[in-house]
This record gives sequence, structure tokens and C-alpha cells, in this order.
Amino acid sequence: MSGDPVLDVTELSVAYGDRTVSTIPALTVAPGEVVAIVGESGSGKSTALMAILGLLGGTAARVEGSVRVLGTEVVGASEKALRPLRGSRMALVMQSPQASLNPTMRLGRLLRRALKRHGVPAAEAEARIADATRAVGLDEALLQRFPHQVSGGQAQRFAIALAVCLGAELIAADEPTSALDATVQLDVLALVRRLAEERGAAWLVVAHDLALVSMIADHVLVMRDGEVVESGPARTVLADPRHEYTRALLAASPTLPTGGAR
Amino acid sequence: MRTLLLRRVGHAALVVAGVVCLTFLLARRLPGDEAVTATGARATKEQLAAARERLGLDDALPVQLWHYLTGLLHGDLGTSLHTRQPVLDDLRRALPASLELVGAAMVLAVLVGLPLGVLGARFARRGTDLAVRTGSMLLVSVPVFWLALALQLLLATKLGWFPVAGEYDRSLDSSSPLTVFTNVTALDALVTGNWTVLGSTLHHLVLPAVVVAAYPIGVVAQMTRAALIEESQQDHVRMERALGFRPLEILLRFSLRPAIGPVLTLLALVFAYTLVNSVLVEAIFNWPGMGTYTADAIRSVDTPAIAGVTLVVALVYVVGNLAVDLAQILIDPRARQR
Amino acid sequence: MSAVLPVARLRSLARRDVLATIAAVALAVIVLAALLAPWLSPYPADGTSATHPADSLLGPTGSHWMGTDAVGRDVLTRILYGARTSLLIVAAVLAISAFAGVLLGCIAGYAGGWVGDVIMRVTDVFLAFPALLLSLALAVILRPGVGTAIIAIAATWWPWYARLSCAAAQAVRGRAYVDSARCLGLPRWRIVLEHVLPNSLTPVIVQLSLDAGGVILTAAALSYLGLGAVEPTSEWGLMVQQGQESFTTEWWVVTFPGLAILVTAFCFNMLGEGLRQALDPRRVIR
Repeated sequence: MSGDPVLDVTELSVAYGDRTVSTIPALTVAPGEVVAIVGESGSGKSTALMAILGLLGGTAARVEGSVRVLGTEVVGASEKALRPLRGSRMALVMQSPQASLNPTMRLGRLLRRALKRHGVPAAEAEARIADATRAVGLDEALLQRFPHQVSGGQAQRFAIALAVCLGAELIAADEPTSALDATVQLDVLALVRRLAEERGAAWLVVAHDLALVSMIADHVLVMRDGEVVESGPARTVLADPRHEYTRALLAASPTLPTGGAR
Repeated sequence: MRTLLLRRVGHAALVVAGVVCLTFLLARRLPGDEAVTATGARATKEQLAAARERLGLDDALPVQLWHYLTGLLHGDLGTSLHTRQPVLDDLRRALPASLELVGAAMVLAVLVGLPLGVLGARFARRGTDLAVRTGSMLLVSVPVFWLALALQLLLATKLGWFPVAGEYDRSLDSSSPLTVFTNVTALDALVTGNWTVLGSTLHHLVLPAVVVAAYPIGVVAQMTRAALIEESQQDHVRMERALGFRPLEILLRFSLRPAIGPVLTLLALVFAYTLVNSVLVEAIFNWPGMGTYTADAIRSVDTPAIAGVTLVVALVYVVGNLAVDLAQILIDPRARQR
Repeated sequence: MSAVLPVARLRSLARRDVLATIAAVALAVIVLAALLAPWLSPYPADGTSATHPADSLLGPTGSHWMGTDAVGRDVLTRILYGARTSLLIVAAVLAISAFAGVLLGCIAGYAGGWVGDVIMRVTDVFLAFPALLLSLALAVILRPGVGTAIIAIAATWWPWYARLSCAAAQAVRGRAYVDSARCLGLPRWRIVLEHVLPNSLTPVIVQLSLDAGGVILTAAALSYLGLGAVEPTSEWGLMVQQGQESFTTEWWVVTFPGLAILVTAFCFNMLGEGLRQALDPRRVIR
């Protein structure tokens, strides 16, 4: 965990009309680090994620503050300026793995098209695909299939492989495991941790299950009603939650006994 | 998938049976007495009665329906009152000309309507989109017979850019006679390499095709726009944006295919609608198709002809619908699974 | 009933959808003009059977803004009276087909079983005929006139409403509140009236507004072919047909009625499209 942060957020706020739905005073993610934003639905955590990726352009949302990804300012940047960053520098993994993949396109075709879009020569693309599918533990034969022909876990591994393949340095995951079965959830989270350590990508993971995501996160932000109520190292937050909302979240966690399981 | 196909086909067969019965009832109720036609206007009462007996007009309705059905299976749609030819023969000549016209219009609809819809979706809720919405709605709302008259007056009579009427210049028949295979003149001319007639046909085709295409262009543009905008709210489009694809690229290469299903379904409906719309247009341009034939049939209260046209168009529609359903199963891998 | 027509959503729509709002205002003007035709028209008698052979085919002037037709009647007057004919046909067709369609659809959807099957298969058969074609055939059977046009068009329009409300009725059939109403021993017709019918109203209202433009065009087409309204009734399609012989020299007799059809159909379609987006975004354009 060294070098300049991949993501540096200061005073970010997202508003619809005069209603502020999400604010994050400060957040940095370094290479190889996993940071989790945790909260219930409606807490503004996913909105913050979309703002960080600059995906709220063209909507009614008003974004203020500063989001720097690898030194480039995202807030206020044009779609055109953001496009070279997308995929190759910052990637998105979404909640519902199947819905986030084009239903009429075979997985491999999407992968090759994305690589081509970012100017990767065909020969190198094949090498990268082989490498990325191995890294996420996905059978390369599955690339011949359509999204509805693979399982949720496989689709999510594929989405991660997409990010790895393109060489994204910041991977933002929006509830990456909440649509999956309990056992698959653990596998995918373990994969996230391993990829962060092995490949040095910075991960920003949005989740609602504090205990679960704390197993792999270095740092945790707890959000409620659009505001950060607690933030700190995962171990500290888990062992000694300061805010009562954090305690409530932990108590409500369906998955595992608390405690640093990693 | 197999049961799905069989169910679709079975359903279509049921509808066809219903269509035949309904057409039969229409034909029985339509004014115009076949017995009078068969015997001539000055026939005696006895001759009329004999003719009625021979034609089975005094039989019970189910018996008549049976005769009608067996006749249909032998391709017997009755005899037209105004051409005095078997209706099937008339339609065999007229339908290709109409299909030529409507086919050209459908090609225009896809070539113009689809890009218009993509344009509207790309700039949704902005100026360009407003123009696309207004323009396509105007095309859907224009009375075709009026548009035909207006364009004919303006572009043919006044400006002389296009011929006023006809399928091709008949004076060419002597200099470069056309060999007829399909009765689709443009196709026949193309196959036989008769370039003069082909050129003349295409020149004659422009105005009526544009008029007939007005409605399909508008509908296809609207439908494409709506389907693409709906598709752009799907998660996968956000994913594609996050992967760095361009908006137009996302629309054309990612959204169009999953969104095209409803547009295709609509095309079958529009095809039949357009075929009927040609009733209002063909006569104006003196196009020798089913529209002109129907308009003449209406004028002379020609029962068998009207019933025949009704049956044929309804059948075209049912078959077209079936074809589109089947095509959809092939295009969208999700439909294959269901 | 506020669930059926969400007023707040309509209001926000008016702000967002400029085109639909303009169309709604224009339609209000057209309806008003039709109602007030006897008072607005410069020559009310021309709306029906009066003829003035001496004034035949005069071009647009101060005294005849849109000129006169072949028998010397004021075109503007006949267009205003034509609006009455068109709107009457639209109202009657939509009322008849919505009533018959919703009734049959609710029965089919709620009762299900073989009754529902039979109704919906008959509906499918009617849907297999393009509207204009079946109207044509029916209009040939009956004698031309406004009433014929109404019956002929309504006969082809009701299946759409049957299909819509059948789907809506099927959607509520399994709902808890309908089941509980049945457990209370309410008679079937009351359940249909109180629970099934309201649920199908929103899609039906949207479809009604979408269909009005189509009915205008079909009615005009029938009259143009001589199967709809007949002399001396003022009807736009009929006016186009009467003027087309002299179109090359006397353009106004055809141009103005055609524009009237175009504008009215356009307004209905635009309004319907706006309503569809506001109330029922999934409904397909037809």
C-alpha cells in the first residue's frame, strides 16, 4: 500500500434539485487497497459510487466537490474527457451480474469489443483474456455463452475479468455479491481480496452487509441518509463501532459472527 | 423451443380458420347477387331460380360454408363481377404490383425510419429529438390519399420531376418488350436485363412508394426511438458506458439488437396496414395493383372481389405475423430459451 | 378515482411535454370550433345542402377565406361543419368499441376457462384484419352514411380494448383483495365492477387517446372512397374526393380539408403519445 492514491475524493456531494442525497467529506483509495462503503438502501452509497465514476452525467443529478481518479478530475469533466478513463483506468462491477451484461451478446464478444475499443491489438487481447479468465477462475469456454446461460457467480467473475482484462486501476463494485448465493458471495469476495493483493488494483466496494464486506476491506465508510456517520480501518470499526447506527448494522448482519475473519 | 414453435403455428392456424369463416359470412352478407351475375340482368325468374340452385345459394348456411371451403382449397375465390374473371386470377396479377409498391415502401421505412429513430434516441429530449418526434407524428397523421394528390400535383404535374401515373412507360412495350415471370415489373425487368423498363418502373415507383411509405416511416421511427430509450435504461447500458463505449456505439451495437424485437413485430402489422392503405393511393397513381382493383370493386359493389381481397390480405397478415414471431426467436437468444 | 387519472402526474407532464400540451390546447380549440360551427361559420347554410352555382370554385378571397367548392359552398364553413362530423364519429366509435371491448375483455379475463378462450380467439380473428379493410367490407354491406362509418369502424376497433382489459383483468384475478371479496360472498358482477374494471381503465384511457387519430383517418378514408358520410353532410374526406377532379386548377378545395384531417389527427396522436408516456409507459404504439 504505497504510492499516490488511485482515488482521492474531497467534499463530494450529489443533489437532486434542492435535496442532497449523498455527501462524502473525504475518501482515498491506494493501489492494492479495498475500501467499502456500507449502508442500507437509500443511504446514498450507490449514488456516490456513480458520481465517482462520472456516470451521473446526463441525469438530473448535480455533483459538486472533487473526485480525482489517477490525478484526473472527474467532477465536471465532459463525457468525452472521461471516456478514455472508463474501462481501462476505472471499471464498474454491478449488482445484478446478468442484467448488467448485454443479453444479446456472447461474453467473449463483449470482452474483445471492449479491448478493441481501448486499442489493445488482437494478439495481445487474446493473451490478456487468457490471463484474466485464469485470474478470476473462469473457464474460458464460458466466453462462448450468452449471459443468461451462465450462473450469477460466473457472470460476476466475468464482470471482474472484464475490469482485470482492461487493466483498470480502480475497480468500483456496486453490491457485487448481494444477488448471489451465500457460498458464492464468499468466493467472489475472496477473489476481490486476492486480486487487490496480487494485481494492485484499488477497489471501492459498496455493500449493505457490514460484517461480510469487512472481511476483505481495509477501510470502511458507514453511510446513512446520505452522510458518512463513521469511517475507519475495518478492524477498528468492526471491533469497536462508535456510532449506534453502525452497531445496528452489525446486529442486522445476516451472515457471519463478527470478528476479523481474514 | 419446439413446443413454442408448434403453439405459435397452431394459434395461427386457428386464426386462419376464423378468418375464413368471417370472410364467408361477409361474402354472404355483401350486396350483389351472384345469381344475377351468372345469368345476366335480363334473366327470367325461372332462370334465376335455376342459377341460385346451381350456385347453391338456397342451401343451408353450413352447407354453403362447406362449398366455400372446398372451393377455397381448389383456389376458387369466385368470379369477379366487374372484371368477369376468376378473382384468384385477378389477384394473381394485382397482388405482385401491390407487393412491389408496399415492398419498396417497407424498404424506405426501414432505411429512413430506423436511422430517424436512432437519431431521436441519441439526442433524447433535445432539439433533434423534438424534430424527429414531430416529423414522425406528422407522417403517421397524414391522410395518404391527400398526400398522394398533393405530391402528384406538386412533383409530377407542376414540376414534372416524376411521371403522373402508371407502372412504367407503356410505349416501351414495343421497343423493349418485357418478359413477365413474377408480375413484379421491377423484378422481371431486372432478371431479364431490361434496363429501359427497369429505369422507367423505378421512376414511376418513386412517388407512390414515398406516399405509401409515409406511415411506416413514422411508425418505425417512433417505435425504434421508444424501444431504444427504454433499452438505454437497462443496467447493461450503464455497464457499457462504464467500459468506455461511445453513446452512438452503445445505441447501434449494443442496444439495437435487444430492442429491435417490438419494432419487428410492428413491421408485420404495418405491412398489412400499408397493403390496405394502397387502396387509397394506387387508384390515384393508376398503379395496377390490388388497391386499384379493390377501389374498382367497391365502386361496382363486386362482392366476390371484395371478399377475396379481404381474405388474402388477412392471410398475408397472419402469415407475416407468424414469420416475425419466428424471426424474433432467432434474433433474440432470450426468446429461444423461453 | 384519483388512481385512475393521476392529476399531479398530468400536471408535471404538461410542464415537461410541450408538444402534448400544445396538442391538447389545439384540440380544445377544434372541439370548440365544432360546437360553435353554426355561429362561427360565415355561411352556416353551406354546411348542409345550400348551393350557389354562381359562386362555383372561387379562389380564397376576403369573403371566402378558403374559397368555394364546385357548387359554390364556402369551404371554411364546410370544414367547420366537417369537424362536427369527424368528432361525432370519433366519439361514437370510441364509446362503442371501448364499451363492448372492455365488457368482453373483463369477462374473458376474469372468468377465464373456455368462455375466456372463446372470446379471446374471436378477438384474435378480428385483429387479423387490418382495420380499414374490415371497415371497408362492412361499409359495402351497409349503406353509406355517418352511421355506417361508425358501425364499420367500431367493429374493427373493439378487439384492441378486449385484449387490453382482458390482460388487466387477468392481472387482478389472483390479487388478495379480489380473493377476499370473493370470500365475503360478493356476487361476481360486483367484483368485476369494483375491482376488475377500474384496474383496466388506465390502459384503456391511454389507448382511447392513441386511437382517436386513427379513427379520424379511417373515417376520412371511408368517406373518400364513398363509403362513409355522403352529400350533403360536410366531411373532410368527402371534400377531398369531391375536389380532386379539379385539383390541378382549384387547389383550395382539396388542400384545406386535407390539412384539417392532418392537424386533427396529429393533435390526437400527440396528446395520446404524451398521455401514454405519463400514465402507461409500457403500452406499445400501434
